[in-house]
Amino acid sequence: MLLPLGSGGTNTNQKKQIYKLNLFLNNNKRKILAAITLLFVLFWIIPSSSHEEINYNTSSSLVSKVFSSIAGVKSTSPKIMIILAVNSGGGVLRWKSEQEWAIERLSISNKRNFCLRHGYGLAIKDMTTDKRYSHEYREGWHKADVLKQTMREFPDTEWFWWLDTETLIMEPHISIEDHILNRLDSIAERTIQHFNPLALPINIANIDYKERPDLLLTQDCTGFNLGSFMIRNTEWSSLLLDMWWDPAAYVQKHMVWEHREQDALESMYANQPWVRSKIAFIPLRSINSLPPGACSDQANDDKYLYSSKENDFVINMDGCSYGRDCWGEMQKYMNIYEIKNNKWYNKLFGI
Amino acid sequence: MIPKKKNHTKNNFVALVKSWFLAVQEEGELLIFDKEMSSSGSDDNKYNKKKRPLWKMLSIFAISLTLVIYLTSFVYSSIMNGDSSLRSEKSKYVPRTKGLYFHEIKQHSPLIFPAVEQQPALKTVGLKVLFTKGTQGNYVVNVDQKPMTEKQLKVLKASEDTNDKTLFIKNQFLDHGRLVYDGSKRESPKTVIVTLVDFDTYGLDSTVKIVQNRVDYAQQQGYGLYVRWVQEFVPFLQDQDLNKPINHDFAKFIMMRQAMHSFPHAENFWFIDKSGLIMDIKVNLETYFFDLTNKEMIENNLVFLNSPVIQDGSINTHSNIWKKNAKLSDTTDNSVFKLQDAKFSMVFAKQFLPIENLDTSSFLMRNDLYSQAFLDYFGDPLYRQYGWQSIQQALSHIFEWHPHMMRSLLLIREKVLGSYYHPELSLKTYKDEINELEVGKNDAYRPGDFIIKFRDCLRLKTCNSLLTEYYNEISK
Repeated sequence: MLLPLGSGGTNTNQKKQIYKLNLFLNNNKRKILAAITLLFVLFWIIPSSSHEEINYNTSSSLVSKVFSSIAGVKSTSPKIMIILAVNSGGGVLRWKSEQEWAIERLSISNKRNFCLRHGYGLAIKDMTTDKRYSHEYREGWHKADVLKQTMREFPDTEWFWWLDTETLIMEPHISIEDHILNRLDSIAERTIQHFNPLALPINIANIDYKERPDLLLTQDCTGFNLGSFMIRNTEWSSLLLDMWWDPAAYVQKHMVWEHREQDALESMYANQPWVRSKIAFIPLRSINSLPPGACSDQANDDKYLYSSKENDFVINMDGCSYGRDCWGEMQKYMNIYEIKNNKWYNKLFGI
Repeated sequence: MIPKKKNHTKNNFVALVKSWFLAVQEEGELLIFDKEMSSSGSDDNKYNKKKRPLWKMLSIFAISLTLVIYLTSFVYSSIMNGDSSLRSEKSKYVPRTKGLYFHEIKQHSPLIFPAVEQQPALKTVGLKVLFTKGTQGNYVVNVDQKPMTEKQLKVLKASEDTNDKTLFIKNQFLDHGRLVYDGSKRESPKTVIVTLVDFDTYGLDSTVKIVQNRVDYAQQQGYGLYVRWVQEFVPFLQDQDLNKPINHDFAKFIMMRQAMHSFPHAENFWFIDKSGLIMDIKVNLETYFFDLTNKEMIENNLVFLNSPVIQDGSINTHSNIWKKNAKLSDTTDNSVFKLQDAKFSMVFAKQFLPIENLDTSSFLMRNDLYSQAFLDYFGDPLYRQYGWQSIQQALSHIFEWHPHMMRSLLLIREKVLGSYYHPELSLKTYKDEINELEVGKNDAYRPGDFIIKFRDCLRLKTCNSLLTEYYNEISK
């Protein structure tokens, strides 16, 4: 406790002050000790609320984390996993441009950073045009197969979040639990009565809404949007992925169903109560905001369009390859991303 | 061993804390002693005496505060997560589950069957009166219409006017579809017998016998009963021609789903068509069928494993019966369990006509995800209108294209849930051992069997006479 005192003794004032401080420390030893102990205890005990989920109880505090690692309870597979569909087309039918490569790289690193930050898994799935999907009836069914495969690969992962390549997570500090999964009761709609662009029947017989939803969808101006959706790894999901593609339906509708699996799902939603029972709709802008080019008929509707002021979570440049400039849009949103997420201290580390 | 060890470490820990506390206290006392020794004034001494309890109080207060905060955070989180009732107050509007009709009539008796005595009257008025014609010439029904009140019913019943009489019959017919069983989960029957009757092709005395047979059986065994007219489902079909057998079969599937809706707590739903009679009402389905073990099923050839569902089908059923919720490690080949614990959702029988196909006149379903998905698949107009040649093609399609459906199917021998009537083999005078006959023939009805089915009796015009003949032989 004793601080070295000046040996010269020329500056008595300074000496006095040091002496006073010394005395103070000496007299309040126990108080200081108590304060430090208290701080220490609080640090270890208080649940770290930054990203860990209370709902999913993935080690609510540092203490339980330490204990679980001692007890050997290791959770090898993450509770939430992003499935990122990349390389769609894969340059099989036409040349893959440099810009497409660049978009892919940016998109992957964006998801990678997000997942590393929150401890989610990331499965990057190749969507190269495959001969088995080349038939008119089978186009677009890659998605269901990839989902099935990933669910088999990670049986302990609870939620899978499907993302297309042309998406960017704009607010990487937001966790999926805080943003979606813990708020399902307040943000998710079990019915389509408030927003029904397809004019599907609102209520059909035998729907059972008692259980929690297993599939979280968003709707844009043309109906379901499967560019970004979340699916829970359950028996129901597995059955849905099995029943989704049925040749008896597709042989009748392949000329009508432009959006393939999306239209098929809409059709199942319209008529099959078991499918409807486990689907919930979340607002488009919660995980799937669109750029101004998409839904251009209703460009003024703020239900669809990304707003950087309101800190929308994800931007999905849906359909940018159909007559829009994917690379331009990507650059634009990458710039916004950088402005939003560059902190002053990042400059110190040269990031 | 482990709890002991735990205890030990806990003791150690306690001891450690104790010793640490003692050390701190001692140190504190020593310090105070030092102070006392060094200080000369009595005022200082007083101050020290005051200070000691304050320090203790403070530390106790701090510790208790941390504990309280910690515990409340736990309680709070458990309330937020565990108790769904607290949550649902905030949650958004969720519509209630409904059947085909919006308004429902609750009934406390588990026996739901129509007023059979109205059959001749229903046949006279016909579908034209019972439903309304839609724009495309098809029959439609207003599913949002309210059921009749008791008062209206009385007035209509008492009236002598022919129009009122017709209206009474019509409303009674429509209201029958609105009946649901409202017993609690504890009261609810576990098994429900489902039968579809037809006022057009069957005679009144046949229908009476069929329904009476089911009522007797359900009462004897404490099962639920769900009987409806096939004509009730006409407005819900796209192709409304009931003369086509496939539409009859689609109506069965729609009805099965309604039975599951009407008995939400029942587990097993057994469909037995009007062309069948339960010959032994003493047989309990649980002991007769669900208590069979997987070993018995396989050894007595009661189940078709690794076998196509229809003649020359390309995909086979699974090669074993699996246990429900079994882990991969304990599914050894020689594990024995009852069918109750086996993993299946639908039980269909394979019949030999001699073409192999699935029997849709007696099948059993468990009320679970797979059965519901199966029934909803055939409830989807898109699949119904595909242009199936027969129900066999549709059934084989769903089983062959969807592995989850195939996995939930238990393909059994016809004899188990319905032996069929054979003009020679079913005679009492037939002496040979029936089990030694060729496949298919050995499923024919013999006196003492559980069920008799009159295959194709409508085409052969034998339904009424056979029903009368065998109804009198039912052992009670």
